[in-house]
Amino acid sequence: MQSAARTVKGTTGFFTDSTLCIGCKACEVACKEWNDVPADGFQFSGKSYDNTLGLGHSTWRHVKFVEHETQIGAGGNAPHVITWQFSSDVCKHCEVAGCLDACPTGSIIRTEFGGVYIQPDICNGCGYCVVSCPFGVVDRRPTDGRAFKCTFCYDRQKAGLQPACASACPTGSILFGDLEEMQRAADARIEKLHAAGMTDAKLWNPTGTSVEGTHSIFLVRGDERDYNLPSNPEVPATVMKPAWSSAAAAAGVMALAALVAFRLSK
Amino acid sequence: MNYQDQPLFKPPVWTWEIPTYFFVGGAAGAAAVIGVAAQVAGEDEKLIRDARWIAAIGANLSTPLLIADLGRPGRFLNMLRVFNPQSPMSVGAWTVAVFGGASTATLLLPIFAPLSALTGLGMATYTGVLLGVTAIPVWKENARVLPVHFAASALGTACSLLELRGHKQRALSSLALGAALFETAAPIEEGALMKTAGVLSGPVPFVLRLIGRRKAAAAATILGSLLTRFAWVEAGRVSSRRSASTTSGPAASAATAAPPAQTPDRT
Repeated sequence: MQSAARTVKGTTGFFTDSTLCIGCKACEVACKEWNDVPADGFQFSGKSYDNTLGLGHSTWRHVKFVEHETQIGAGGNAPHVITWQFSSDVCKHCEVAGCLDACPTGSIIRTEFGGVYIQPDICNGCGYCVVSCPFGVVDRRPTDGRAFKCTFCYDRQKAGLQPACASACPTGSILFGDLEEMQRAADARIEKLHAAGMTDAKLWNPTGTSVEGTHSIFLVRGDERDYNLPSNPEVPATVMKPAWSSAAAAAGVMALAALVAFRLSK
Repeated sequence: MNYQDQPLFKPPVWTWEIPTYFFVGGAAGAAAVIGVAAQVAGEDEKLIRDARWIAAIGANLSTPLLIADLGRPGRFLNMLRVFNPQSPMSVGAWTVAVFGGASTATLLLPIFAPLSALTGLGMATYTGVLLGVTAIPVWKENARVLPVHFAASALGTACSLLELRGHKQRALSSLALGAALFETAAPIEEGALMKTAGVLSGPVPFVLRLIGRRKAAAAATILGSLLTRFAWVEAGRVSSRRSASTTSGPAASAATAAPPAQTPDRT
């Protein structure tokens, strides 16, 4: 997996800042256009200005329209008007990736940029990554049979470009670059927001969990769980040992029981 | 509160082939184990032969079931492209491949019987690991239980199939009775299917065996075992639909939930 020409060195990441997002969905459109992702159909969800509702096989960037009750006096809003937080969601590209662990074909790989990539020429659509993602990102496309998710614009990164969503973002809500640089930008931003009095702003990057951090850092306001960003995500591998131990014990008991039963009844 | 009441996890995309395979593959694996145990004890040749046939037929039904569920069935051989011990699916694919070969070969060359039984033990148990080692809450919470649960149910089914073939060995009925007793104690999730499956695998065959209705008990065990697999896959579907961003990890569920936001007035 060596690349000849790229400008970004080492591992890369997204920093998505919901306080700068205006909900324009340019990231969704740019992603679809660049990656040739099919349409989602024309469903009316009735939920805010969001008819896509989540990431899926045909939605690799997804703008959430999180509605919070307004605190009276804050922002000069009338009490009956809600506040909107927009937040562009994307595959987290986990350091310990449930989907990558689960893949039985070797289709899912870690790229040289640190992203998690499904090789479409290898995936046979077994669907195990779908139930192994701790964020509900990966999904199998019924019309195609294979699993799809954000590719981290692997092709663009190879060519020294940033992902299409980051290129298209008009407000700088989606930043892309060297992962450490992104973490520094996120730290600086949160410090600035806190200093300005926006004390409910917080960073989300589950470094202290079994996911061991992601390549997608988010800045959100309020409870991160309102954005379907779990505070303590867990990779399936955490139950690997107990499950296999239990299987080994069951196999042992079964073999022994069968041998003993036939020996005794003889 | 989840974002716009959206579940955190994606539901399993598996269709009927997978729970059917869990049933067929598990029973075939347990049958191979019984075949070798009977052989070691110097049992009746007919019993050994029938056990081997159940193993081989089950194994040869398993592969097409698994292939049919793939999104790209033509690429099924990609399963054997790598061995990924981190993936219970990969471990399972290799187990099915070896078990299929060994159990079929045993019909002609009995020397393969031990290998068939060894991989058969894997067949009867790994499917529980396959469900357990995922993000789906109800499966993950039962990761320790499922392999044992499926193993007991597979053993009960294999004995019951042999009994329905007319074999009357006391070993078969004791093993099936033990399996039914275990299944009576096995944990059950909510849902009518799960409860029906539980009753048919546990108390019903247990009582029927005690009153000497062997074949009726065998039929109940087989049906219960099949329904058990469907019930657990369905439970995963329900669980993923309900998955909350608050219940992903132990620390998160212990944390006090945010007060429920009232539905804001959008006017």
